[in-house]
Amino acid sequence: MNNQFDKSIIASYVYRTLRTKDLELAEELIGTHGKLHDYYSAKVEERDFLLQLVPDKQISVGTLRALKNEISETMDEIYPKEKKSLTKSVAEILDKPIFTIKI
Amino acid sequence: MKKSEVTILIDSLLPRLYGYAYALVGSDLHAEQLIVDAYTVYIVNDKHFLSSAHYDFQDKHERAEIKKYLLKEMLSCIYELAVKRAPQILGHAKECLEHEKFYELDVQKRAVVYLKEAAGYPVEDLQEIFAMQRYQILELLHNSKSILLNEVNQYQASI
Repeated sequence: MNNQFDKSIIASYVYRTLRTKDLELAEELIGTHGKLHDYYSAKVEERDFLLQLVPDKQISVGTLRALKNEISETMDEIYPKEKKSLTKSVAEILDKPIFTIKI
Repeated sequence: MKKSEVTILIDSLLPRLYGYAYALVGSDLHAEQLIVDAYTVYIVNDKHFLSSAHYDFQDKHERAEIKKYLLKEMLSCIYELAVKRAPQILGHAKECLEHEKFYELDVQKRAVVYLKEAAGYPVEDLQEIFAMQRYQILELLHNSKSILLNEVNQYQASI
């Protein structure tokens, strides 16, 4: 088999860009070839190092609260609460009898 | 879909959106602003869909589907806004010394690398978020990795 091709399969496996159909092949290569297993370990180390270079900041409680408030305000601005006119409200009440006279 | 339901879903996505927005701009304040603005843009653009979408909020599968949809839409909006603001936010991002090398990448590469490596999104999802072909995403990832690992590779080559 082509060594360069095998290596590219393993690199894609480590970086999770491999198509599902090739997963088995990658695992077989890593498991059965000593040199390719070493290459796999080196690639895993490289990936771990790469991960340290990427910021992964967690949101603070204060920021989360502030954002929730801003989101809620934005929603109210875009979808304002419907204000019913007085006539409509009175009409809705008068739709049903307010009280009944029992004889 | 009710207004309160959209708010509940978006609120639950905020931690994920914040991590992404921060990776793009490298500043707390700009990340917050970016999320609020992207949310406004999204709600205005998708107002019709949101008000006409009928689904059962009590059904966890339907809720998960709509949440996934909202997340992808928001990630797209945040990215588009960050690209437009790149000239203004570039200076702030460079102040982020802890991840200096990462902020040497352009906004597009930052977005792809963050979502793939830190957030663990599959390539298929990235294709949807950035409206790109698979090979374009892979090319971006490859180029970004080359830039980030450049110093390490040079060091390894020298020994």
